[in-house]
Amino acid sequence: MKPEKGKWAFRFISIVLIGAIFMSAVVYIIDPLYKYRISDTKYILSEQYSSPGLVRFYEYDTLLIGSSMVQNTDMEHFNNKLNVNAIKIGIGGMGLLEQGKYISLANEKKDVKKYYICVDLASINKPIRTNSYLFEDDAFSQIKYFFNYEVWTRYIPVDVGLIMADLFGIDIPKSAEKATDVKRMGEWKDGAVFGKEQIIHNYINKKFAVSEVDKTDLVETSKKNIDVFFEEVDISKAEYNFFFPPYSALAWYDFQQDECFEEFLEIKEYFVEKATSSRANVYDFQSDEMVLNLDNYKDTTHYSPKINNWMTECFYAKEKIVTNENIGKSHEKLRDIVETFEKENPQLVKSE
Amino acid sequence: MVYSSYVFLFLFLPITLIGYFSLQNTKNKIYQRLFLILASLFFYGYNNIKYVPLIVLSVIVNYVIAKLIVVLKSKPFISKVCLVAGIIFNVLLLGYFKYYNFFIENMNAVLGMDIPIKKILLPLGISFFTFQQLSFQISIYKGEHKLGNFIDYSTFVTFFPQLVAGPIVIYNEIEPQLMDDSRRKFNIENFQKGLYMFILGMFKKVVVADTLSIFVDNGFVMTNLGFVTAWATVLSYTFQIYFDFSGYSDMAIGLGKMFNIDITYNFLSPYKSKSVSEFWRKWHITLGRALSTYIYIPLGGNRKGIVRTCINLFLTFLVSGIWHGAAWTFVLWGVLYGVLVVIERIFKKSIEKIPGFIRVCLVFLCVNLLWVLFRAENFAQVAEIYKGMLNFTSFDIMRLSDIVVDGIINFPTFIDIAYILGILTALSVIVFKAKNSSYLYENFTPFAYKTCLTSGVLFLISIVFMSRGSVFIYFNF
Repeated sequence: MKPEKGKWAFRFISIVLIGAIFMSAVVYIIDPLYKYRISDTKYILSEQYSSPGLVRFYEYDTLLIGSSMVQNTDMEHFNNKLNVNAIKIGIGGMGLLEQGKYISLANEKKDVKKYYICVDLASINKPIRTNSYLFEDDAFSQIKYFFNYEVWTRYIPVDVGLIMADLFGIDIPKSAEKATDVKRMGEWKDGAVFGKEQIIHNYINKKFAVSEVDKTDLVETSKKNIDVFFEEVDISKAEYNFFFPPYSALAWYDFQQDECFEEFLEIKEYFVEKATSSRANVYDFQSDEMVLNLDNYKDTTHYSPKINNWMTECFYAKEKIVTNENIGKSHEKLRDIVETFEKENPQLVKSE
Repeated sequence: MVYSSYVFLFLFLPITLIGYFSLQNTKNKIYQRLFLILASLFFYGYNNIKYVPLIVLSVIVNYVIAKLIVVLKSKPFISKVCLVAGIIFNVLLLGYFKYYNFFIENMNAVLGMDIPIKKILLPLGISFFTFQQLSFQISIYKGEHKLGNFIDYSTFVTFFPQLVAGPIVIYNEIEPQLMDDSRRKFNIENFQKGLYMFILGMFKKVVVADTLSIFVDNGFVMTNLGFVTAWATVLSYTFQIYFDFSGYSDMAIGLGKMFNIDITYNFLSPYKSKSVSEFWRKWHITLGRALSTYIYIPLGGNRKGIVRTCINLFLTFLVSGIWHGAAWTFVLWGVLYGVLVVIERIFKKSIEKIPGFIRVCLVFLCVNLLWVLFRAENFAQVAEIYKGMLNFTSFDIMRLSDIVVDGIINFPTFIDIAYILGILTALSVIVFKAKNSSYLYENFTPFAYKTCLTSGVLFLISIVFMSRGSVFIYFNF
């Protein structure tokens, strides 16, 4: 029997349409990346994919946002000390403009009272890497979500497993528990080794690069990005607290060798000027002598959770705030710190 | 623009099909041709408009030269000069864009000079359309083809299904189809069959090849590879390049069929080959055909004794290596294939006595080893991989999870290991046992509900995997 002309194509299109509707329904119901709601079951979290949804739908009045510098923040301690209900959005290598995108989303969707924004100089000019379909609500964004690779090959299978475990009362492994805890999202302290010896050894042997900074037009590009940030983010609606995280003295020594030390200080001064003129607070944790103690660090810039707690204490006590008037003094102190570091570590000079 | 993109699938292709076939009833077919040419140029220039003037120039110059060859046929010497000019033009064009920096780097290294390297953007598919036009000119000179009008010629060169990465079609294959009025009209049966082949190819590329690319990219940058990890990396590449390129070719064939144009096959289960020569008759078939026609046979082929045959074979593979890339790794790749083919020729009778299964394994082993040269960025990387492949002291199976990592979710190591071993095992079975897509295409029947369901499922899976974003390997040539 000869098939009717076009029957194969008709059947094919029907199968595709039915399949597409089914897939869309599954994604909508499970919603692994919180595009529509926060589910009752704990889902596997990803800083990169879950953050937009958390910013939109999670219950919070304070947002702590930054790069890997904030990921180890103890949120219970943070919330108790500052008497807030904060959410932490820490994404490795997050640049200033990407932070701006998240802050604008939070301003749009929630009534945020306070922001604590980490200004990671080494990442300040990193491009925006957000998945736009998780930020937008138009039809194309929905379609991209319904037929997304990461959603179907990772999050749905794992989250269905978590739903089943929840349904049948099965305990999930501790590693999965951590991966589903919003307060611990992105945390990297477990298994991290802190200590001066290994940092110096790795540095001398160039086993890994210091936060690789693109020095091309560093100051100009940074100032431009700072301008864009303050143009796009409405600072007036909440209390804004910016902070420069405490890189180790070795990092600053390396910036000096790399001829971008003074450039970073110039960028900081520009940032302080822009921020304080918008009535934001700026904390500078970089000129504390604590940065000389490399036992607090895992590498040249990543510090132990103790430091995160210390910064929380400073937020509470409103210590280390800088303004246009005193930023210069802070930088003088930083120069002294680097000089002290060089004297205390002659093996570095020999190895250059 | 790439086939495996939403823009192509949901915008460009439907619009081009509708536009092309809406002109099917026009008295003069020139309108359909022009539409197809413009659509093809749009396709070509979508990611970088700078590519378009180059291909337009190439088409115009090549056509003018071909025309001069024909018009001046009565003056053989001048006609030959035109041919030589055409060859020089095409070789220089390809040479500049593809080989200039390679040439300068080597000159600097050998002669101690310091000539600056230029930032030259390699136009998509330049090796393909240059080679295609070069072979066309030679055929015109020999009187093998009849030169049509400029529009026909432009359609032949720019036809988007084969423009960027082949198959390298011959004018005589395409021109009669373009001239056939019955092919001007939309044909649902051709469309269905073409769509089926396109979906098979798309699945091979975006699901299989692009998944393997993660393993390959991770494995090739690792150091101190253990035996298992090194072999897993190399096998992954062996499968990746096959599914990537054959997938692309399947898509090209499928697209051509949707436009009622039959494009020749480019792959016929090459990994089932019992000899390296057979492998090259089944891998990138149209390139092999072109090299045979325009290099091997003009050099004398096998007509001048065994020694000359071996030299001709070696030189043909050397050219193949150079054509594939401007790097010494490609040259060595071509040279080693040349050596293997020569050895096969010399010891043909003895080799044929070896059981077929063992010969297939040996050929597969050689192909795997040589793909390392094709993929590696430099000889240091080659050495690292070979070192791992021969590292019998360290099986290092746990490190397999390192080549699986894609930064999305970290699964437990045992899941990663099971995943990659499962994929490689399944693909081995498919590659050695299953029917290839050409067979499935030939045996396509619109009556079978199973192909419809399979196509629908493969299509949806491909749509999901496509959101990952990918590049075709052979786009770099």
